[in-house]
Amino acid sequence: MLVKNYQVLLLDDQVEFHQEMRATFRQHYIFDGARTIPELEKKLSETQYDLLLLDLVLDEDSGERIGLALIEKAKNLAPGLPVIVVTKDNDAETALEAINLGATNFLYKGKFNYDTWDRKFKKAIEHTPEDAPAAASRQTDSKSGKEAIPAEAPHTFIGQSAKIMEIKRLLDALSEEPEITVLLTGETGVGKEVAARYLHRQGPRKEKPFQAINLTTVQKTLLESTLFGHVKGSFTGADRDAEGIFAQAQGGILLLDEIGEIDPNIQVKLLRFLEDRIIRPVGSGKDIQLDVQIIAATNRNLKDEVAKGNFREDLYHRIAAWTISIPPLRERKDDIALLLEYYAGGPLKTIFTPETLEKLMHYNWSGNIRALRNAVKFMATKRRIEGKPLVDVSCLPDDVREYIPSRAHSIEEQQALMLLRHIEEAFGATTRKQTVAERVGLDNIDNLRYRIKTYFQKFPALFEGLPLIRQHYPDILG
Amino acid sequence: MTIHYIASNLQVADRLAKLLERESIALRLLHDARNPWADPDWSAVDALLLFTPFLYEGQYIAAEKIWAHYLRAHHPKVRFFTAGIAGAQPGVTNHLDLLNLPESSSNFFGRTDSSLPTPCIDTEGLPLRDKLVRFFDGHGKESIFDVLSDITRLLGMAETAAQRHGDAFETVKTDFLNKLPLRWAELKNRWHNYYALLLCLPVAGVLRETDKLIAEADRDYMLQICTDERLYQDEALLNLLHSIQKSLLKVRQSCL
Repeated sequence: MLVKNYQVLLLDDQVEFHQEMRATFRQHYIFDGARTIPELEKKLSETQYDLLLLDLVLDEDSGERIGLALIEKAKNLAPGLPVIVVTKDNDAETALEAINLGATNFLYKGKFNYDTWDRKFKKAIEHTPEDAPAAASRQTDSKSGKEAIPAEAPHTFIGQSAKIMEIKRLLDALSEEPEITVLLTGETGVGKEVAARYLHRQGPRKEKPFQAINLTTVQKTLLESTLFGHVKGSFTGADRDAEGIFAQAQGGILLLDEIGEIDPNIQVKLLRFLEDRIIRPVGSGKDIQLDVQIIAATNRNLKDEVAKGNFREDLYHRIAAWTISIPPLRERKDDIALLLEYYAGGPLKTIFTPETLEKLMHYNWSGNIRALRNAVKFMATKRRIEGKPLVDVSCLPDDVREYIPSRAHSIEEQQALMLLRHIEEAFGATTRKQTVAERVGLDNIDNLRYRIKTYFQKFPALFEGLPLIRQHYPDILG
Repeated sequence: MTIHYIASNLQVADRLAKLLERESIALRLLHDARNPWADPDWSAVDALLLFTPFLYEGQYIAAEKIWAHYLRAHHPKVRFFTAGIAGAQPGVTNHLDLLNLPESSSNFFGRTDSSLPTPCIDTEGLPLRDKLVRFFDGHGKESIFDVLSDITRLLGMAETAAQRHGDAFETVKTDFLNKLPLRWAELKNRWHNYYALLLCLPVAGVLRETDKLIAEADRDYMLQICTDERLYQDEALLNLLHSIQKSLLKVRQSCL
């Protein structure tokens, strides 16, 4: 059997850790070490490595996390080199930041497990994400030459927008940590369950059950028993022992949707489970030890709920260390075409007229993916009933057909547009920036410049119809 | 109205109790702060008055911030007040200045809002919150969790060396186990430096359990880890270390 020896560069200021890693992973990895930043730079410029392991706390005196800034530096010095950051235990915030900065994965130093670390190294080196982007997995029909929609499993996490790719990367990294509790936030219909299932498919619990429960759909009086089970006779109607959903998820993952809605009594029990992995069925005198990973989801702002006293602070901290916010569809319009194609079951041009497609692409999709999926179903039925060759505007749901796209959606965006129009008007009357600033109530040119720069960073599309601003600030607006 | 209190100077508390009696407020002793904390029956406690600073182990201790955090986390229905001769920072509405009592104590203690602020008082007591942070984080370089992490990682790697690579005990010792006694001593030293002082905290029960776990790990494993070949691969040792870590986390979450 061919055994490949990968070249790994480890940056860590503790010499003992270098020795330990070298001895432990000597079978498939050749470790080289750097203890300082100049040493790292030198080695990266001289040698080609397969993987860089980066300890985040290098400066023991200042305690500064200089490793984070090094991620970008390393990526510049050795483009394409996968980087795994090594962090202290439970430092979720740093690990999350590192992933956002481009790290492939992270390791908790104290949670050593040979198989997990080895898998992380290989996954990063071989760069074979288990759920390749949809475009890459899209196959070509050899007979027709047309793109065929892949036969994807239900709950496929569809999206190629930068935001979704970022989330997938983070979920890939988290999937290797089967003990971590993850909180998924986002509006209704954005695909929180889909993200949870993705995490399940990617990780070591994939052969074990995935259970999901929407906590608002269970009667309050039955919630405890639904979650934790009950013993015969524990309440009226309990004529036999029953297993709860926690026990049904044993070994696997349990998604607790709408976690922000549960009452304090259940919050205490959930906290107990998260701390000790123990549940007690209703009416039972015995605790049961379980191994279940919890993924919580909510469309509420749990921090606000903590401030209002509706949600326990300790429980919040237990579940919110790894929070992933799934953006609404209106913030990732790049994905609309892909989703339409997926749910409609074929290339867009063969299903929709250009005008219909235009309407669908510009709709605000406040109900997110769920609303889009329902709209596609509605249109398909209407097209079939009316015997039309393509879905035209008349097949659209009323709210989509009648929707007039506004250039500014959020209140902030609308306010920005209003001010920018005033500025544009003012530039029509004078070219003097100080006068413009005073006319629009910004007092001075520094404020004017700052406002334009900030708005351009946030809402670049708003500047399309504002030539005078563009003319006066070419350095900002390009 | 009944207010439970914690104090070390019971005479001062008695004098306040007599004054409050006139307004039909009963002051009941919950705990003599000169002794290590023992968990009371919390179900009977509606409001807690902490006399600060209190005398414990020969030192005046200021622990009101820890108490405020602990109550919010574990007994959110208990309203928290402090009393002392030191003045409170502006905006602190739940501190009773003993040299300048309010006109109506009923109004002072009668408030039902659960969002009473964390008291910020200029006592000259030892700020126990800072001490606790120091216990957990060390002097900024290495937290107690980092030390524990190193120990568990070394054990895991030692086991890998033996199981996967078939390394002899002497090699495992050289590569990994010989580093353990020093790391373990660091953990024990830090623990013993702080343990007695921290027993005045409302998490004293968890601290006592942790102490037992550390003593067990020390006696049954760590003292002979480099001489007895059977010990480092014993799963019970890892379980013990995980339990220590969990207990320490519990203390941290309850108090900080």
